[in-house]
Amino acid sequence: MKQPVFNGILLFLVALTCGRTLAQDLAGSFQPLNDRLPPGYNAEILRRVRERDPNWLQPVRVDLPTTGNVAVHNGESAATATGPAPAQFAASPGYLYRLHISDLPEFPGVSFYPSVELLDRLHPPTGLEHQFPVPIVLTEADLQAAAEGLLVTRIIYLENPRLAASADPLKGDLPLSGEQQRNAVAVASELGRPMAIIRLGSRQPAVEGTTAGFFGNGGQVGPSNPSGEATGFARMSPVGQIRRVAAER
Amino acid sequence: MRYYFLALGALAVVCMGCSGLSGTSGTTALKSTQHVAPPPAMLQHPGPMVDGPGPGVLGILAQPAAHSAAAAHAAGGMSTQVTFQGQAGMSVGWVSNGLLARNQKFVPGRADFGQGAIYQLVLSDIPGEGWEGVSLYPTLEVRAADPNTAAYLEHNVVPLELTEDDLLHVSSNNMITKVIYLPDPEHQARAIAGVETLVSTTLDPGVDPIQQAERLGTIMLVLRLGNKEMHFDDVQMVPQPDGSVQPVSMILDGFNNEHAPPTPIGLIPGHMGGVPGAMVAAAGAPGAPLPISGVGPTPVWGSPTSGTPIGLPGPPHLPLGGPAGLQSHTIRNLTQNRMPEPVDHLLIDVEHSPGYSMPEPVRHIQYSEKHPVYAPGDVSVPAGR
Repeated sequence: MKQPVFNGILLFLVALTCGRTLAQDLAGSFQPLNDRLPPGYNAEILRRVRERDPNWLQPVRVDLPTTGNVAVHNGESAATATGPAPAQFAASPGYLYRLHISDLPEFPGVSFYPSVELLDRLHPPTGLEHQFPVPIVLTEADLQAAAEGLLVTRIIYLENPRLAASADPLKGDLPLSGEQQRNAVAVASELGRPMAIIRLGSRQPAVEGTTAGFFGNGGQVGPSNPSGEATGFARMSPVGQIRRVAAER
Repeated sequence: MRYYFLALGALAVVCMGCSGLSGTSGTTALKSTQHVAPPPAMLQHPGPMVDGPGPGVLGILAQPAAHSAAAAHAAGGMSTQVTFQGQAGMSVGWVSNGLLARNQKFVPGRADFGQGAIYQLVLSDIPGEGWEGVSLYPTLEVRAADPNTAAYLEHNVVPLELTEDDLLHVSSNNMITKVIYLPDPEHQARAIAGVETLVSTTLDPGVDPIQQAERLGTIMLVLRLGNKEMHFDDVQMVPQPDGSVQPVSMILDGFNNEHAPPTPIGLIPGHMGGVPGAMVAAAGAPGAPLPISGVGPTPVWGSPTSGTPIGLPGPPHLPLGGPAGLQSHTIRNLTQNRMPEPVDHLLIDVEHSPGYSMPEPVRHIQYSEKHPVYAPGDVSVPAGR
């Protein structure tokens, strides 16, 4: 009679001490990158450490709450590429870029200049590179917070397939907002592979002359146009909610 | 039965280890799997007077050329964008190359100021009774970007508000020191970073707003405002090339479309390069000649450029953030003086919580590959390949 009880207690203790979750395992890893480092620093380190194809341009897609215009700067005050949202372009990983968001119906007469620090690249099937861009989703809440003088930092990560099987960020299974005290890049690393750091504020280019490095640090920018039906990425709905395109088809 | 439970208890202790016992003393108890990284400023500099990113494992490829705040500041390019708020319609001017440029911006307006310098502002057209024809001449101290504030300053405009209370204090012969700072993460209530303002008139007597702000975060702006009247010469006699002397106006007015950028009236001493520059641990691109200590522009390695008794320059201490190795620091004074004996053993206890906790360096890498072996006819070629 007592042997099953003993076995049960023993099993409970073993499970208590050894039954570590995946998140616990990942939480213990050390992350030298930090979202609070000066903009461009993380991407620069990764560019030097990782031997990537220098000719690879990572497609990036910018989604706004409804409509608007998106311009991309890669170091110069003159935009390299311009287009209506959702806008898609391709850029070299490991560099800092500056976007110019304008003509937003929600913010008439207001322009935003978020920066995109492209950390890493995706590895899509050959020939389908432009169907899998890195999605940059700027919500109306983000833009409103920036207009009020706050700094909004978003880390875009490629979800860990071990977590993707059971957790869906769009359903709230994964945290969509981190604690201020924590390193946001480390949080993203626990959930997947950080791809980009987006920083959004209210600063405008200087009238008397641009600040050094304001428009980026010289990464290559090229065109990127999805051919065929785009699937698999998040998109804004008219009411400002993020929805998965593929899930509704 | 007694030994039965004794064995069960021993098993529980073995399984759980001492995890339940740690953390009872102090607040620095960390699990063995938890690590605490140094602050961003230290991540950029692995050791005292040694430059480069991270824990020094990046070797010769390290040292990002950095679009960093420090690099940009060294190039003279970093500026802080300030938005003037509060008194609607008030005009803001500044001193530009010795000239007083009035009416350059109007509240709410924004202007860019180079970092690490002090500027002389002039506030005119202040709304409210009693301020007709009165100008105020505050100074604006623009601090250089810190690794903690670089991202904020590159993306946000810093608000500088002049309130009714501020004007009331100024009219009462009080001086106001207004400090705008970015709180440290532990002092921020929400996940999105925003600035805070400390005003000397709202603090207890004797409390320095600058020291208080430095305890809570990183200072970006300091505005000092009083009611002192500054007398700028309206007209100055300037010699002309033909030998004559002509009166030249020393006032620029934005209403006359005369605009000039603000220029510093002084530099902040801490940002004038008084501290020697950091030494790069491993400079140069692959294939390029390595810098040799003492040859050419490379400084002499190991020269005591550090002012702290334990911050000796030299190779970065690994792992990064580990304690210094010095066990004792003794200074003996043998001078025959009729004075009290100097302190012969100096003990300084410092502690911050939580302390750095770095993972153990990699000691062993085992790499193995397994190749499938197929017999003839076993390999199936995927369709389409």
